[in-house]
Amino acid sequence: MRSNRYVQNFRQRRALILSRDWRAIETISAMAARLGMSIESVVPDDGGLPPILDVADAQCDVLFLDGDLNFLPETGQGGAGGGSGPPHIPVIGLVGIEAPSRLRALMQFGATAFLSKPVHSGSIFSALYLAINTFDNMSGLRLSIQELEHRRRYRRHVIKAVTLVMKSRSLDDEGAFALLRKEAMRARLSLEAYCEGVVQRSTARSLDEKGRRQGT
Amino acid sequence: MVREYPIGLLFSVTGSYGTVGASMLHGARLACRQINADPEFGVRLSPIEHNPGSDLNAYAPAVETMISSGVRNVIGCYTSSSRKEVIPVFEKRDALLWYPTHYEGFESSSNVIYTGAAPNHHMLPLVDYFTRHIGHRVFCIGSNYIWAWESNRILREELAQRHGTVVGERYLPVGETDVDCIVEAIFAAEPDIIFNSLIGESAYAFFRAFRAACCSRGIDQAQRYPIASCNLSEPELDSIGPDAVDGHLSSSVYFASIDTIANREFVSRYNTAFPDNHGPSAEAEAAYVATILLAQSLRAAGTDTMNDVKTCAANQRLRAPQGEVVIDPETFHTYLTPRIGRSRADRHFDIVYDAGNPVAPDPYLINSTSILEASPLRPSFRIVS
Repeated sequence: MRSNRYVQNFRQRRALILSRDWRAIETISAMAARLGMSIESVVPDDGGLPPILDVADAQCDVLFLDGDLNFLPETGQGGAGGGSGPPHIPVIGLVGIEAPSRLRALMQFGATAFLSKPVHSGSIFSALYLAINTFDNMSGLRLSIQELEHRRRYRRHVIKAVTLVMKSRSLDDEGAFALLRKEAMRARLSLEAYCEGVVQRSTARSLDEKGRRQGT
Repeated sequence: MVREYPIGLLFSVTGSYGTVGASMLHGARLACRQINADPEFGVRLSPIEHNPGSDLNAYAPAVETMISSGVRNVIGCYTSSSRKEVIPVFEKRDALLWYPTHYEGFESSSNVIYTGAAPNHHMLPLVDYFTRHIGHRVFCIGSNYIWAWESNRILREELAQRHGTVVGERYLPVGETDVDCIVEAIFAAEPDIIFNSLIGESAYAFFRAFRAACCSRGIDQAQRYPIASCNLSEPELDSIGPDAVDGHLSSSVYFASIDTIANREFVSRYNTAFPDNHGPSAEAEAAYVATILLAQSLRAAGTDTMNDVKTCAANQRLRAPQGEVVIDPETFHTYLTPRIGRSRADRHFDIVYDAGNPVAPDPYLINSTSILEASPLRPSFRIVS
């Protein structure tokens, strides 16, 4: 489970700087060093994103991406190395031209914080704090949504299981649900997973009985 | 050839925290006199003084005036709020602020040289000391601005790592002296120690009121409810008054009672120059050190333009009254020697802890705090039936 605690210390992280703006590179490098980060400045060619992004790690790396580069996703290009899409790491967009198209392109690339150029060293800590913690929050939310979607898909098993228990134990729906929840907790399973098992066992039993009846 | 440079001295010598400001101004003046009296040094300083009177709105105009009159290097500011007020002016006008005060960290403006203590110099040794020797239940009080907020946040983080707790937290506006509600709250919470980040008159009023309240209840305040601060120095003990002056812990990189030849000589010169004062404070020594380091940087640069002076400030070192100090070229903060003192009735400090060597500045606490913030006190695990 994701912690709700915010990241406040960026030591041992790696700052990947993707820019041709030497002033921005210089300012970010100096500040990142003060924050205990290592620095990897990558001057991109126009052919696409550098392969280093393919192996970037969300827990170790943060990308400073210059919005003035001309291979951002607004053109439908992008994709690190083999075109696998934006890297799943925190991204800080460096904004030279505040045009909505540039900002949109940076957001589509995953930017969760912006730094206006020329970069002011006093803003970098705040941008890192915002980018990394927003990225973590969004990752946590994405996992929660996946989990909820998964459980929603299994909801029909719960309904079936409640109906089965109501019939077999002569209980009302509330009683059946309470019994299933208790058994799920005892089995250390989610309600949905337990109900899936109940339904599968019931279906198997029905098939057996049907088979036996046909056999006799 | 001796070059003469104008420098600004921006200290509030009147108002809420005028006691400390005056002490800082004295430290800076002493350094200017020392530099100007030495023809071999190669630089003369021509100080231009401004007194914002502890009024936050007066700081930025004062800096504008100084820079307009040709000043490019200013030594000054005590409160963090005043530093934050003036930094945009320094950045706009390509000038350099030499900030000599201990502060809460988490800043590194390219137009500031931080010669005062960073939080790893004062907060961390203090928490370490009192959790070892006194206790883990802490009541935090402070003036309602960034210094106290951030100091208390760092304290909470450190306490969490040592399984301690903050049992209460109260703030007063800067200059407020009605402290009765805080005193009552402390008695109700029964902490092991009080961590004080009140500044100026509010702090003096609290020390007096709390000691009196303890006496009236038959409690030995210094023993039962010791008060620890990172901003308590000798001149402030004078301001507290004789009845409540002893037994308080202070974390600082300098105490006038440091027993070295260099410090005895510094104290003697300070007392000769300012006989009406009661010796130098940590802030006075800090302003003195900042001024000498500035003079050394000006001499090395041969000009007072910001970039040249800043380049030459990196790695400047000085055998200061507190011991050796060095400007860290990475952070433009300073290597200083942490110490903890306990105040005596004669308005000096007994040094109860001395780090022994200069410690590297860590303004963002990257080497001393955890990656994640401290856990909230309220547990997230609940038992439901």
